Amino acid sequence: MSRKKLTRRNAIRSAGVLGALGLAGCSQLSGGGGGDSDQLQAAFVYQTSLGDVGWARAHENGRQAMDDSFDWITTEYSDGVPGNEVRSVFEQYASSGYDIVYGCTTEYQDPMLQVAEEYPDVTFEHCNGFETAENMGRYMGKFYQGWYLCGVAAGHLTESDTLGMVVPIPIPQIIRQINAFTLGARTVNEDATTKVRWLNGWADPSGARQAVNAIADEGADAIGSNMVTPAALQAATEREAFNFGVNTSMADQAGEYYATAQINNWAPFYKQSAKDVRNGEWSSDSLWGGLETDIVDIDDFGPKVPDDVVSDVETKRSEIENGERSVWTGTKFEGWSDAELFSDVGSYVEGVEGSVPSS
Amino acid sequence: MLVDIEIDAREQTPSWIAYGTPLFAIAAALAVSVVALVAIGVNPIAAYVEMFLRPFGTVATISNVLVRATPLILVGLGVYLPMKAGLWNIGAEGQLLAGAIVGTWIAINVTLPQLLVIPVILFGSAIAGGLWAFIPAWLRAKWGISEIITTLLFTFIAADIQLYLVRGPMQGGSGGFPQTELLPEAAEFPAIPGTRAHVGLLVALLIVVLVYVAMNRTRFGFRVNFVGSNADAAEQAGMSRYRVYLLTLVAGGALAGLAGISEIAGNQSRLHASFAPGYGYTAVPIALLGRNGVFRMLLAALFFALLFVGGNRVTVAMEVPSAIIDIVQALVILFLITAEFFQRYRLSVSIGRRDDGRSIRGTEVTTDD
Repeated sequence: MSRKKLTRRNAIRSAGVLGALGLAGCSQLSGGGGGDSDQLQAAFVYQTSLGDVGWARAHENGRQAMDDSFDWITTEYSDGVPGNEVRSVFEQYASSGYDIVYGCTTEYQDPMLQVAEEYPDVTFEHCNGFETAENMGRYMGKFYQGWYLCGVAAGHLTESDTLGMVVPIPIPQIIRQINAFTLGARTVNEDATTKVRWLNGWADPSGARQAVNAIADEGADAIGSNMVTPAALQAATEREAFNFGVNTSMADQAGEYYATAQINNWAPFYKQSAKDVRNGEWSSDSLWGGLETDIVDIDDFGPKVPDDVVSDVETKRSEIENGERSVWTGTKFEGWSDAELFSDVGSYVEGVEGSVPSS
Repeated sequence: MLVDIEIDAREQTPSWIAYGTPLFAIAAALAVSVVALVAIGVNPIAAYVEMFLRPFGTVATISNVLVRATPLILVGLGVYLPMKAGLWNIGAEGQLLAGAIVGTWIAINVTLPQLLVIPVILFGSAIAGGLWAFIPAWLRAKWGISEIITTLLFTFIAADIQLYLVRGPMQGGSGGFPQTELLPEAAEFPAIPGTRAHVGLLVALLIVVLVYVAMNRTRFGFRVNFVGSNADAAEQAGMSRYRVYLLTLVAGGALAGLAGISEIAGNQSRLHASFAPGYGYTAVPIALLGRNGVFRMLLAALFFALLFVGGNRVTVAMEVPSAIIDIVQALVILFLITAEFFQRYRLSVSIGRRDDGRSIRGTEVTTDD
């Protein structure tokens, strides 16, 4: 019953989207853009100001790839929009003829839900949340898989069997990544342990630098950073410790001991969702895509990483993609559903030193 | 050639200067900002229309400005009041966080009908903000320890407590994200009919009027103004600096606390790790611009809200990165605050040689040696 109802609603909604396509053409006239009624308009909203690296830049790379791929789409973005101000930004896009609005951070969830209700003919996509609506989907990548592959490389590269990780705030998303990094290393190096430093913020260049130096002092020689700053990697290179970045490539900034980075590759998702909207096939769903979707990727390896390490990582990558390998096998998280993994990972696996800061 | 600049305090500010300078300052800032906009190929006129006029386009867009202004008015008052007594409440952000935390906790955990629960929430937040300001206030009043430093440091403590709470004991909603549950409907501030602005705005406006009356019509206000202009003279006159400092800073904290909860219960519906991007700091220039009267402070808060909402509009309507908008906003604020100087001081510039002789005498001495 309910399924049937949903499909009917979806059909109506799709018709609405087609209607919006027509409207988009009209409103473009007033907006000063081109007047082609086949054009789709997509808007992207980022929380932080756009820099050369980091979370927002990864989304921006996806937007540009989408813009370059299709001549039937025009895209626009707003950056530096905090969660409490985003509602008016969504409203402005929705009311000026945009067909899809992508909200690229967790904090946008509640305002996006409200605006989605006001504009049922516009498609909304929210990154890294837990709510959906008929015209609002959510999407996220299993970035812990990328960290697992980084861990495999780190396990090979470390000589002291001591890894390090500098991380922002203790939430499941980050704890998963620390665990995966350690588990990856332990597939090739049973003695590997990880030292963790929490920085209580997402971008803290001087704090990240100090944290890297502190764990390098304790012997870590392969260090991952989940901070939106290359400063951590630069500090690691200065200490001749292999380093792993996050979100986007940091090869240009990190220096000679750059190993690789866990990459957020949003382009495949953005392209697919735009195509779906254009074809009237879009439906609200919850995507948590892994390596097999290409949303999760790792960067090209740095010059100091030997070829046999690279090929071992590639092997394990294809094993995960084929479903022959799971990150969580043999841990307390084995057999957990995606929903549990998404929300409830609150402690370290064996091999990570200490415990998650009390909460 | 010698340029000689003399600065004299004005005894009286002519009214054309009092009313004209803010407008002139904004115009000058926008004229300078044209450079940045033209450099990235944006039509500055269109950008300014989008920024300053379009927000008045519809009830919905005006609502956006009012929603943004509500916490700014309250936290602006929280800085304004101590400023009247000569104190700098730089850490209003921390008091705002304390109010938001306690208010959210009450909203989630206390079940009462809406008419009762909202006053309880407001009261609790005000107490929390006031208490957060109490220790810096007492340290200042009793021992003269700089409130600039202590209120600021207390902000960091509040921020860390807030971060701990939203990912720990108060964490709610699925996904383990650092945020609380949604507030129950009874605890949400109702909207003013026909708009999206909420009762927090009415509370803020009511308090503006109360502060006006208190500052201009009561003995308390007289004392605050006296201590603010000359604390030693006020002591000589038998006024208690201790009491004025303690009262204004604690009251300022309470107002900042109200700002925190009004943003949560009126706009965001739950407490996030990063729910208040610097309102407490924005409040300082707001209070500074409005220090000559609480209604001016109200205007300043509304103007800042317009700057924020309008700035976002420009990034949406045109291809303008937020960094450029930050430049425009910063220039406007900078020019406005600089203009304050010209309201209070007269500048006379004379160009030409002056037979001062001091430097010449100096060289003579060295050649004699």
